[in-house]
Formats: sequence, C-alpha cells, structure tokens
Amino acid sequence: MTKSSYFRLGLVLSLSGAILAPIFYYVLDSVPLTALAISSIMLGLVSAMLANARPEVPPEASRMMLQTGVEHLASLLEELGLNSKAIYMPSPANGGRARALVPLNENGSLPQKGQRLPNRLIARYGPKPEDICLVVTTPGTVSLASLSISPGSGSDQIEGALNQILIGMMDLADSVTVHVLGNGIIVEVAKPKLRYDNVWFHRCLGSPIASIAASVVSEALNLPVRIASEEEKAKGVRIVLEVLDEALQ
Amino acid sequence: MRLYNSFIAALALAFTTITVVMAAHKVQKLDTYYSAYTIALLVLVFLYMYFSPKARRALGAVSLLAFAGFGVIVIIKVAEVL
Repeated sequence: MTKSSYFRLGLVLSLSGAILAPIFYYVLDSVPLTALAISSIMLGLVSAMLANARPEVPPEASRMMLQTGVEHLASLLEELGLNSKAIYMPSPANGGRARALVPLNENGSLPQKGQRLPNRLIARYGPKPEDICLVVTTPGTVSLASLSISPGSGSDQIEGALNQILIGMMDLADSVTVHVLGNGIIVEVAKPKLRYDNVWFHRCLGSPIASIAASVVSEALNLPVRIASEEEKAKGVRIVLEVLDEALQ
Repeated sequence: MRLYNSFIAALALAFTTITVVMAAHKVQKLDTYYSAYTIALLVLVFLYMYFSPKARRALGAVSLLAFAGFGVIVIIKVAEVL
C-alpha cells in the first residue's frame, strides 16, 4: 500500500464509523454494532497515523538505489581484483560513520580495537607494509545512522537493533534472531528479501543483509567483525559473524 | 510495508474477535467494549516493537488518545461509586 492508500483507508474507516455509531446506537439500539463502529474509528485513526509515519522514499525506490550503490562498489572491487573478506569497523569514538575495510592482502594484520581509519579510499591500517586496505561505506554502515541510539552489547539488544533496522525500517525480512557462540555471532534471518549471490561483491562484503548485521554487531560490541559465512536455509539465511578481538582468539 | 499491513490486520482481527465474543456473552455496556479495544490496541502496540521511531511516535499518540478515553470511563465509574 502507498502512503495515500493508508490515509484513505483511515479516512474511510473513521468517517464510516463516526456516521454509523449514532445510527446503530439511537436508531437500531444495538450496543455490539455501536462498539464495532467505535472500533472502526480506532482502526481508521491507526491507519491514518501510520500513513504519516511511512518513509518519504518508498522501500522499492530505496532498494533500487541500494542496488545501484552495490553495483558501483562491486565494479570497483572487481577492477582492483580484491577478494579478501571485508572487516566491519565500529564508528570512531569521536564521531563519524562506521566503515568497512577490505584488506589488499588477506593474510595481513588484523585492525586494532578502537583503531581510527583515515577518511580516504586507500589507507594503511597496520604496521606491516602489506597492511593496506580499501575503506568503503557499505549498506550496513549507512543503516547504522538510522538507529537513534547505539545498540547495546547483549544478544537481545543486538537482536532488537537488527529487528528495528531490517523489519521496522527497511522491511527486508520477517524476523531476526541472534545467538552468541564463543567469538562468533550467529544471525538467523527469516524470509529475507535480498539473498546471497555468488558474485564478487557478496564474496567480499557479504549480502546487504549480512553487511547490515555485521555493522550492527561491530557497533554493538565496539570491535571489528568479519562475515565468516552465509548459508541458505529452508526458512531464511544463517549468517555467521566472526568477532576479531585478539583477546578472544 | 508488510509490518504496517500485518499490524492493521492484527488489530482488525482483535477488534472483531472482541466484538463477537462480547456480543455472544450479551454484554450491553459500551464502556466494556471500549476498554477491551483499548487494551487490545495497547498490547498490539507493545508487541509490534520493531516499528520505526516515527511509526512508534504515531502509534503512541493514538494509544494515548485511546487511553485518555479509558481514563474518562474509569473516572465516571469511580464517581458513580462515590
């Protein structure tokens, strides 16, 4: 339904309820029918209020823009021949956007906890000469901006934040559950609308849903996170995230 | 928006069920129906916690309005008792 259709539904329900309620009460002398008309007014108010809360840009348009951004980034990664897995970094303590780094060498050092990434495309992130990476903004890192508060580090809080982004804001899935397993986090997404494809971008940065999950977990734990695997299941997708904390390894 | 549609459908189902069950029990007080609707609305708003902040604010306003009506009923009942 579009924004205006929610409003129209609300208007029709509220008006018909308001007209019918006195008729049912005074003319037909029926309390259950009057109550039904009152419930119609309440339902209409809810529908009309939800129309105002619907995002200005429809989810379909957002999905098209997301696809465009993903394809541009995929072209860049493919052109540079990068196939190492991206490491999702939390946002810096002094403000700024969380970003992901794609190391040029997969066997390079791991980024340090609380490490700041320079605000440029190609950056050095470790002491070794091969510790060079591409610093990119991903769908996940952008989605963090939509959260009003930073998610807490408990699995319930991470689950709540992911549900809020993936279901409440982006309408990309039916439900999200999060389990913590050692230094891994397992995110199960039911009925995702965007799937993992075996393309360069997804091999490197993960599917958009996994990217969002990795960014939220990284932000919640304030630690670098890497997508270890994405597995298709009957009910959805199972994403395994690896927390890159040297203290845990 | 599947979440919005599901919320509106759940609310419609809850209101219809309440009306049918109460009518079957021959409840003839409008305030009883209204109180049950308000409780159903508040419970569903609580259960659908993953709405965007904007949607939650909007539903909060409707819930507050419904709760204000419920408060008026309670005040009238208390006044009757006193």
